[in-house]
Amino acid sequence: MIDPQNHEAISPDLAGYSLDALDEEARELVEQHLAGCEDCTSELEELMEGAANLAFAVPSVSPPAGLQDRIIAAIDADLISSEKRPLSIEISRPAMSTPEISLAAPARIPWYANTRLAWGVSSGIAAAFIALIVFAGVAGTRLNDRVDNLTAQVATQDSEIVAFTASLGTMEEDAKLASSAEALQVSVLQESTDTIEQQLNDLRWLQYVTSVGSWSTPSFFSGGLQPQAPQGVLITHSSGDQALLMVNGLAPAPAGSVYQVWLTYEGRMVAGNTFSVDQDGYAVVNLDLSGDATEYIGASVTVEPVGGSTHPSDFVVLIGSDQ
Amino acid sequence: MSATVSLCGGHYDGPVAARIRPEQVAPRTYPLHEVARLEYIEFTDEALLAQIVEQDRLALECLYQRYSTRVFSLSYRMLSDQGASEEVTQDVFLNVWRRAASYKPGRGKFTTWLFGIAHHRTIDELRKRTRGKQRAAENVDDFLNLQSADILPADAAVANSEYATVRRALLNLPDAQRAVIEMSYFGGFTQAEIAIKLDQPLGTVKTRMRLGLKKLRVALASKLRAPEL
Repeated sequence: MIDPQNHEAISPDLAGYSLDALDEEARELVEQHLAGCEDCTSELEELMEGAANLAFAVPSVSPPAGLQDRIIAAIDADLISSEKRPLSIEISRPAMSTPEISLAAPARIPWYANTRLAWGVSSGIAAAFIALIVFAGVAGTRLNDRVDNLTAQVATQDSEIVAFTASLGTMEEDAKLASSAEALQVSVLQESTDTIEQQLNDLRWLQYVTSVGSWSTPSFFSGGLQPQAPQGVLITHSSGDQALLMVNGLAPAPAGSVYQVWLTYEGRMVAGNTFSVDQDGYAVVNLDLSGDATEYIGASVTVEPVGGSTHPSDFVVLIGSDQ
Repeated sequence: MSATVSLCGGHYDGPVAARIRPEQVAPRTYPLHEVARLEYIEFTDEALLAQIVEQDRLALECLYQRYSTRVFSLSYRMLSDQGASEEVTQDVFLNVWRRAASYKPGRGKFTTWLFGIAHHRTIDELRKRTRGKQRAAENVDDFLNLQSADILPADAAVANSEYATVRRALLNLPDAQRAVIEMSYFGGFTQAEIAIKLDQPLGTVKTRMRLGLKKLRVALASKLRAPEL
């Protein structure tokens, strides 16, 4: 029996290991030896790299077209099975009640497999559960994270502005003229802070309206299931005149184009506002919808030429349908 | 209406999906959030793998588009069985999905890791099929002739391909070293089996494998390009 620590005996088998040319016993010995031998580990990396080249030494044969879909379906099954495990979510939110939630997360319907993307929640679900989704769901978490981040940024920039302004105030008039660069910096900072505060106000308002009854239940929609997929939240006022859309994680629209919102009704689609996103992929869009905002059955966001379109293009980046 | 969109370092040349109609909401036919997908074109393999650790399915699709043909081709060449090769390819990419966190960037390239998984899985299948049976390539000369048959096609477009580059590097190895490498890697023979079939001492087979692989690595280190990003 060979001792796994016997370097002289094991190292000649490294090439065989990298080519999968060892029997089970020899393979196990190599693996035990590798755990404690840095030299052999380094040499094996070189040999593995040499062996990997051989994968290119066969003529190319394309896999069948349906194989990718089968793999994605298997991954979806993985995701669903992992999501069926009970979750325990602890949420910390300042100035609001902080529920500790234990629930079995609903299985997500694969984007691909579903002919109608689940986007939001049916009106029959209790308001408390809606609030729970808002604050516990991915979009809700992002919303809260964003509020926290923006609040921190505003606080930091406010401090900088105060410090700059104080330093300018102590200067003589001549020095003030010479320090126009600093004054400009204050101005830029102030502008940036205003922008951030505007976003913060939008988000706080969005958080507020999703918790009161005069607005519809929030409907989420998505550009995919992965964590970084763009997302949207759409809420409509009970008057039907107004709807508000927040998007997050959306890449800037291609040059010469803008995003445009579409609401789907029975038998027709209605063009909504065009909009752009900021550098973080974020935007809040007010939609004026002349009295029928509560009747939509679906919504989407497309890429359109600057100025918008009367019919949606095929370039859909977010989509959802009320179920 | 059609469009050409470069996706994930691969190339998508399909029709743009049907226009949305209220009565026809079929997300699968839309160019699925191409904005996010386009971002991944610039991602390295390792960056995509990091996304997969975060359960980003789109990143796996991008890696699939980059490497599925290579994985499938390898398996098909070794097994000569379309169905089994599909199964192996599926297992390989599911392994990538499930084991992405186990990849250590400091321990070699992503492709080394990926093709290692692909080869190991194919060898398992090959040995399962031939366990207790006569090996299909019992005649060593026949096996080696088969490997040599697909060398350097005359087609100029293929002559500069990775395939031709690697075949050329293999041909430049001494025959004895090339034989043991091809028998083990493509034929699934263990080094002990090769020693018997070639009637050579086991130590000689091990040495030839080691020298051949090292030469191959050096010869190809600067020649194989990364997938087009």
